Amino acid sequence: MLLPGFAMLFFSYFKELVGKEVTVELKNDLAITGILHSVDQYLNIKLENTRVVDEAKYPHMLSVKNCFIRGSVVRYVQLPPDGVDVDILHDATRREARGA
Amino acid sequence: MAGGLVSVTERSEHGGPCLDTANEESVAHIQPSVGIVLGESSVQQPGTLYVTTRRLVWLSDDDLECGYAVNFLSLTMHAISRDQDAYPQPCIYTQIDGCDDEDEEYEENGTDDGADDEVLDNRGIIDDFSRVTEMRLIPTDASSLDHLFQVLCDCAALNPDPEGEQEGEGEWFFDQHEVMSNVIGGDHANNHIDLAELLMQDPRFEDADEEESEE
Repeated sequence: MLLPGFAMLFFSYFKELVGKEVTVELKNDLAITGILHSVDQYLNIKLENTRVVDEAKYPHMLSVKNCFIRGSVVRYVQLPPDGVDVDILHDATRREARGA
Repeated sequence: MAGGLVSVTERSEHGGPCLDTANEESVAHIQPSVGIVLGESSVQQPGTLYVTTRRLVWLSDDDLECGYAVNFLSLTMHAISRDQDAYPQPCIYTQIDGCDDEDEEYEENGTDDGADDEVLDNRGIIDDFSRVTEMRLIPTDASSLDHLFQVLCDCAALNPDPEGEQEGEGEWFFDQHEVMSNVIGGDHANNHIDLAELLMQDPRFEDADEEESEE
């Protein structure tokens, strides 16, 4: 499986976050919090036990249990503070940027 | 392109959707007895849901010219909804994005609601399917939801964005100190660089001589 540089980095990194709670913000401004269930090579994201961040704005969503989000519509993934090893991530992104 | 939700008025001789076999479209799953809700409209039923390798297609059982389809490229999200406050029956909730970013400020017709995807005219009838942004699929057999959800995941994964559609890069956000420490060739392990101090000391940041205004 061949992914362009940064995509592979993200894919590897997100796999490490499986089981942790993340918040996914979509390009249409919807933000969904849930437990990261899985991610695929296209960075499609599956969340469990999801809830919408701003319920007043998106009342129809409310608490869907399992959710599949198309990778191409994700704007941000907010990571849990204790789920991030910043130094490792910095090193990995620098290597990626240098094309190492 | 993908274009969001579209109306389907034709069927194959077997009663199912006309498949785009040139594009390798085949039926992955058929779910009978499914109701469909588009946006804020009331449920339409009964119908049959065809999940193909390219699209979600719902065909009315009663009206042979009534049906809807959406390409997986436009299906931005799907989920199992069991929250009765959101919708009384367990269903698959989906969001559809048919438009190309930018202007989502529609001058809509008579509706006052102000909800982002209001496409109903004042009779409550949808007149522009491409602007439907939410869709619910309500199978009579609620126990089929888990399998249906998984089928949608599988078929969505078959439809990544085509090559070349994402030319160029999005915005890159850097941490300012990271960038500066790399440029100056500073010690990567040392994140306590005093930027102002560096700029003062590094001769590369001296003002250029006025006579030789090169670069």
